[in-house]
Amino acid sequence: METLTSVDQITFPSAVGRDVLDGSASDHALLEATRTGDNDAFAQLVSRYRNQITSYIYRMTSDYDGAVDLTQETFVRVYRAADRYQQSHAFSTYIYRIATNLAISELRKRKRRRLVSLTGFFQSTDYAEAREFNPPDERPLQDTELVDAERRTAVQRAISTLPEKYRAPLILRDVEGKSYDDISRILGTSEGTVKSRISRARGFLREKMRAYL
Amino acid sequence: MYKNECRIVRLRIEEADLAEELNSESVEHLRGCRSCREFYESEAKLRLLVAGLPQVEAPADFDFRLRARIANDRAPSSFSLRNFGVPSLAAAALILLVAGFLFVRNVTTSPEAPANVVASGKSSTTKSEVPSSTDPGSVIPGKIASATSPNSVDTGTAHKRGENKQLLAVGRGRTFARDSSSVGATVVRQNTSIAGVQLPLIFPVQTLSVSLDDGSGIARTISFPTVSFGSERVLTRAGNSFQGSVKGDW
Repeated sequence: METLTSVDQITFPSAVGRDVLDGSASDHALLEATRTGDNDAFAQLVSRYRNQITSYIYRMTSDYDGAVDLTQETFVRVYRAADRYQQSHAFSTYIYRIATNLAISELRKRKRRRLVSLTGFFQSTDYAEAREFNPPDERPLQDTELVDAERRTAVQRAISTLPEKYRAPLILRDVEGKSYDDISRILGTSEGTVKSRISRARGFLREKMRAYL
Repeated sequence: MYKNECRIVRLRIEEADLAEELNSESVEHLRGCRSCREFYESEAKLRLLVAGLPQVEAPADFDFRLRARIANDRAPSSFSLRNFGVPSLAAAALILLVAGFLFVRNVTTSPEAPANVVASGKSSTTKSEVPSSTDPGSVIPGKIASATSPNSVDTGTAHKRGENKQLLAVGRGRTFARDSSSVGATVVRQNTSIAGVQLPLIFPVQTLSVSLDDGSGIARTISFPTVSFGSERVLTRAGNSFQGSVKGDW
């Protein structure tokens, strides 16, 4: 890979056949093409995963700008490590693992800095000490949209109060719809541990969301 | 009532997907167990709530920013102290500190080379003026030298360094001044090896002269007058040669 000095230089003519870029190519094939210097193949990979990863990191961190930044960092790492990538697991597992590590690292950094945001002001890392910042409004609402919006906000807030070790598996399972096997590979833990943590996380959430269930 | 069967069914409910149908045993259990049915309903509602969270999309300029970031990442990095890392900088600072300390130490110690050292070096040390005659009362030069050597060993190098500085100062046409008022004189100690030296009590009727050279070519000679207590005359008269000890054991 030669040194670039301009953003425009990153767009090279495709070094791989168009069949790789037609959308049916596997992630492995696209990454293989990226390795050989085809940046269109990498762009294809980015377009496949950018929303998923952004959404996942956003659910983990509850910070959109930070999530976008970390998603970019995830793709930069994938691009940089394209030469070292091994096709032993699915690419999605690989990229989710990078994203998870970055998100957890960010959460720990925040914890150290005691960074507080408006939504996180009343939240705690310890579930036992977590307090309800915005209790559900019991009055009848006129618009179902408002009800849904409030419910979504409450769910997101409840998720953000979970300890990180419970948060990641719950989001991967219930939001991203990953299998237990995939989650255990992404998190680098056993399947039993994943199931146990998801069960605990749901228990916490059930307590938090009792008013909405 | 919460039974073992309930625990198994709830475990199945937790592990199953929402769309996945429970097996007939679990369905049968749910029909008869109100507690497990409530658990199932709350679990399904909770998962629907969580799964109903909308997917957040990346911003429109995501690709452009990513390309810029990758291009920036691959561009040659400019010189920065950060490139060296903290350990390298710490090592460099330590080396500078040690070098500075050695330099300051060298500067502060060298001009104050003790003047008394001059009297103990090899080239300019104490020179016992040894009488060439075979006078039995003369001092044995080698023994005296060995007696002064322990003190001169540690100061020899310092003296040489001071001497070199002095020569350099003379070479540059500068007058070299030395204040030896605060410097103690060299203590000449008797070595234990001198214990066996035979000193005849028939001490010569001759002065002992010691020549001192301060290294700049100026020599000073100090003469010690002979002190007699009269005992040697008695011994001479008796014709005996008495072997004594320098320790003063009689």
